[in-house]
Amino acid sequence: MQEKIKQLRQLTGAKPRANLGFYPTPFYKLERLSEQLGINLYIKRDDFSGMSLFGGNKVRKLEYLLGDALDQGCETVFTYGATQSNHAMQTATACRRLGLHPILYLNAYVNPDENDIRANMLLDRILGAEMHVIQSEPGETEQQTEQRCFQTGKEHVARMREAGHKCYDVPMGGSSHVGAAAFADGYAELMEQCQQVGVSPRYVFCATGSGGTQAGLVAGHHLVGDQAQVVGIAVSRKNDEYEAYCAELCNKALAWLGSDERVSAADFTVDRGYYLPGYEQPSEAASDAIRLLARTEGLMLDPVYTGKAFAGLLDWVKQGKVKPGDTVVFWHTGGATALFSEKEIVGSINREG
Amino acid sequence: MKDRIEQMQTKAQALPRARLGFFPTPLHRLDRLSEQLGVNLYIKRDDLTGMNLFGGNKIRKLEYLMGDIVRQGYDNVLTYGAVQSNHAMQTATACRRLGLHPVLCLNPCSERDARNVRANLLLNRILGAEVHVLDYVPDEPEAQMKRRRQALGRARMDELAREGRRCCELPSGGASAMGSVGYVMGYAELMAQCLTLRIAPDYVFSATGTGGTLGGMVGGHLALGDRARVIGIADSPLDDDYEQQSADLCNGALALLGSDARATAADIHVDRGYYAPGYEQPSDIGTRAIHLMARQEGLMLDPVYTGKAFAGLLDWVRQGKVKPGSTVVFWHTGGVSALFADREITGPIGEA
Repeated sequence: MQEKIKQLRQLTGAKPRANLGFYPTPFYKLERLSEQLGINLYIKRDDFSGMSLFGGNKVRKLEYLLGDALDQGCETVFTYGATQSNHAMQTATACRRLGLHPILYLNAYVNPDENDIRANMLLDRILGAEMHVIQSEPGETEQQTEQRCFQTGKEHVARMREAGHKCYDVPMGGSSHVGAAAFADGYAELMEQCQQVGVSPRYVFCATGSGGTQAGLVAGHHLVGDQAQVVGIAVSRKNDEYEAYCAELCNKALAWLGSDERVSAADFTVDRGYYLPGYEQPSEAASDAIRLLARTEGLMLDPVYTGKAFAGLLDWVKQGKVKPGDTVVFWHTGGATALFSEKEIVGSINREG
Repeated sequence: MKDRIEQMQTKAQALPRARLGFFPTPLHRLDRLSEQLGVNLYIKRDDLTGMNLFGGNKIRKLEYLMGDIVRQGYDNVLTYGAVQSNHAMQTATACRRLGLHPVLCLNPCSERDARNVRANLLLNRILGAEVHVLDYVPDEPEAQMKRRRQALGRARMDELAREGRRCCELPSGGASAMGSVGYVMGYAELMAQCLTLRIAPDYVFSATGTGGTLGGMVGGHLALGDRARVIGIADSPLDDDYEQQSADLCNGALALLGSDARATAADIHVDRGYYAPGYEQPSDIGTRAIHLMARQEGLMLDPVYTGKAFAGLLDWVRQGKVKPGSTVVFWHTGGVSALFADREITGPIGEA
């Protein structure tokens, strides 16, 4: 296995990379919660990626994406997301560090109050990112607003390119094959840490949204050939093709890295049981999971991604799908700024008790 | 220098310590700002102490304070601070990690502040800390508020004692000799990193509030005898005897570490020029400093402490008090959760 980890590191090491975070991110056992749950529970702290306090999983992707942007001589970076997007905020942060101009196209699931700009959108403002907020029009579905936001942004990219500007266009969530490849490298990093600690995980749990993180983790797992099952907990409604879509992203990342290995949809485990009532909508199970980790370990999750993913992990343990004594890694993908967002997103965690 | 650092580390190992953070915290150069300002500017990232994302300078102190508390077998910890206190929130976090019950006695800075569940007060709720908020009395002198706050805390400690609990009382800001040990050792950590990077700072800037962090840094500086000038930028008016109080904390920490070095008030350098209009009140220079750091380096400061401290550093450079080409360390003490506090604390940082 050591040899395979090294080979994977050689593939990722050949790609241009911008230095945007502090790696490896911490990896350690949650002693008190492990005892309470009867398993060996470890946490991988990608919420602690840096370099800004508000890093997260997107920084890993952006090291390769913006490495590519610098390599191509770009000066302006476009990306897309919701108004409270972690990816958009982390992209703006990374751009500022590298002296690139960030342009964000943000669609409003929750219309921002100009007198009370919160969480990631507040950080985008502090960063002085160029922001274009696309508000939903009457009768429009969320998907239609998102599509219009994307379309308007693409037209802007085209106009700037026509005028001779070098623009780098990052997809929503940073979930391109380049972004996914970053998480293959992240998986190698985890495996190195597991070897140092002398553990071999049976499960690796993460939140899954735009698919890039999980696609990368599965690529890494496939190349290393360890015994873990990578389980993605969906944070929004996913259609039946999601696994196939992730596999395609994974295979493009493998090809980009110069590997001949390929995966299929069957290599992806995505549990759709924990996102309700919907994306960016709080649930009691997630609120309870947030309180549990805060009160036994002093660590913070978020209501949109990691709270729901951790609720999924806890339920797998409760149902006996994860057996007593199993070694489990929870991959904390960040996003804790959502704790400070609008009450429609935060839910009941601000209550006493 | 290397030998002296190792001697201090050996002495510190004799003190009980709880593992609450990831140390050493990063020290790195701010390339773009250095070029712009004409100095070699480094940042010491104590906003990244961990283990929680919302760590900060108090975690360094709490490692020693909580080490002592655990050793003495307490099961409850009571501490004091403002409603948005970083120290109170980090104490609650540390308690949860160690399985102790956190009790917080907090004073509001306005009527609205008492009821507004944001930022650190929200984190305290999530952590399930026992929170007692003092009634707000407009225009009350600070000394009187502190007496009322302490009376509230002591009454709760009496109740806990009657219930058979063992409750330890921590001062606001964790400002005690044992807490300052964390920053004597933090300074040694910085100097060890400077040796690795082959730099010798001319200045070390930090925000200063309750005086324990600054006292500890000066203690480390005196014990090591490096060439840096340690400058505290005041977050509030501060008493006339503040330098003496900070020197006392410094000396208490040095004594605990078995060091013969001692400080006088003259060793504590505090600049009171940058806190206006007042504690937890935003200023234009603070806002501009936050924007500059975010837009040049992609890093976040806060409006109450580090924003104003960095504004002070920038002004020292502009005035030529820090000479071009000097090596300067800005010690980021954390507290960035205050960006998500009420607008009466944050000011116009989020305006387009």
